[in-house]
Amino acid sequence: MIAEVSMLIDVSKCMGCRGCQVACKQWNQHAGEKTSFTGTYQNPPRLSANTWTLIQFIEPEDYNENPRWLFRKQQCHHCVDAPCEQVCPTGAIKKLENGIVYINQNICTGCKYCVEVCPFDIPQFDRDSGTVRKCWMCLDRVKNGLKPACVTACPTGAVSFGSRIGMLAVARERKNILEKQGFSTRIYGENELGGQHVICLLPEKASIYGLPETPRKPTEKIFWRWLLGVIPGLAILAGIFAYLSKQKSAADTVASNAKSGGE
Amino acid sequence: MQHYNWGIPVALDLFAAGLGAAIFMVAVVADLAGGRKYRRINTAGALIAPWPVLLGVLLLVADLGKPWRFWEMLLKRSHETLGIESLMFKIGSTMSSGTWLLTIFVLGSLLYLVIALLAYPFKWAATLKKVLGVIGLPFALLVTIYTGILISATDNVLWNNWLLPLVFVSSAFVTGIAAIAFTLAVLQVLKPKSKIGSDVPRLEIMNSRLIVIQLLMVIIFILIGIGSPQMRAMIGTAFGLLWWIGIIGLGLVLPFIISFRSGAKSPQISLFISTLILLGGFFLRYAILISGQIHI
Repeated sequence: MIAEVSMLIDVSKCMGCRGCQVACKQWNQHAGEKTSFTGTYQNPPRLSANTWTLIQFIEPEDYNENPRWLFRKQQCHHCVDAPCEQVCPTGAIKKLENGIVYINQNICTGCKYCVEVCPFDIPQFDRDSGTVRKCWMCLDRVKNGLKPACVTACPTGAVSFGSRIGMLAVARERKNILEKQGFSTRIYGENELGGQHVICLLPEKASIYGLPETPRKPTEKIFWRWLLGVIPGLAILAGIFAYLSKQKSAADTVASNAKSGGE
Repeated sequence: MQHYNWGIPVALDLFAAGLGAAIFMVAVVADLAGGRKYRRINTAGALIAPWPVLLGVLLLVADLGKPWRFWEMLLKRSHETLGIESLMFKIGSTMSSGTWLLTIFVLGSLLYLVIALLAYPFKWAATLKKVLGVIGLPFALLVTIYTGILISATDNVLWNNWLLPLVFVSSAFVTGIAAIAFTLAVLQVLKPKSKIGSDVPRLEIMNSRLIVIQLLMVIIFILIGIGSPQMRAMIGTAFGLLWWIGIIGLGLVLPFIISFRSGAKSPQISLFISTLILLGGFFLRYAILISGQIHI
């Protein structure tokens, strides 16, 4: 049994240097993207097939009353109950024993269903490769006992890596300190979607960071939805059967039928 | 123009898969309800049912990132050796169950087509047709439902609406009946002296009842989702004209008004209203699919 690994993103320690972004690009050999200034330091503006992690620069809605500039490292959360893995029709997305959710590029056919179900908008379709790509928590490094590239690059300790149990312990300790300082802090990823392998320590409401407060699995009520389709479907079929059965033969009374009506 | 993750090919598949499956079901039910009496409806349905679904499947395959690797959805490969291990089927993945439903439906409806033609000279084929039709009914019904589940079981505010599958199912039946009426009306126009279009008014009257159900579904669907900006974009800023005048007005209300009493007065009018219904059915899927992907 391989121990579950986790990444801890302590948002309160992030200063928005974007070293993790560069390290990710470098290790995974992703080309840079041409972007233009949009009024924010967030760059590129969003995740893409070649940008697997991104620092969000957030000025909250109540900025004028309570001015603060927030940063959050956006990336795949590596959920235990991963919706992307559940809907992948080819089995290309796999949850490994150590908790990493990765997309096998040899098997993915680029149907883009995972793109539509992820509550965090993480998987991105790549037109060049014809596949969907996302953060794989540097599986090649982790397998060889190294930490993911973004973790090694972080100069403030905002991103750390270790066993899931260990990271949760660090998160709780840190939460206590932050709460003493007056921040109501949430350990996002402890229980969300069955628990996640990227744990975010959030000193603000999750929605301010663009995260769903209670992420849901889109497939959770799927059986009932099928049933909800079957029953009225059968009713319509029965109605058509009943309607057609009670009709007299129209084939020989075509002229009168067209004029006088069927009922 | 904004690039959509799922665009026109997927909208066409959602439309065509529901359409073909509903045509099949109406053909089978007509056969069960009236046998030879409804041979025109049955034969027309059997002849046209497989093709929209086949087209939809081909469009879906073409829309893949790697179209030539569509078989990955049918065969499971090992992550380590990449060797083929078994058939690929995942009940929780609507894409996976849909792949199989579409495959089975296309093959089954093609077989049904052959048997339906053989049923004219051979009596045994008429019985076999009924049996095959009954076996095919659940698959066809599931195909129509699949189109709605596929996009409703997603993290999309507009699509994740519990009524969406029913909107698509009722629309599938309405368009399916219109397609059979269209086919029979075309043949009637081509052969004005035949009785080939004699069942068309009956189909239209029946369809007008279903249009009422369809309108009801659409209204409840809108009311459930009205809180989301995507829904308001669909019925207002982005697709408002298409939605109210095209899909609702021309695609449902006008055909209803023309046909609810005694069907269309001539095969030409039948062609006109069934075309409107079919276009409305496609644009219904198109508007919902695209509106859901608008960033607001």
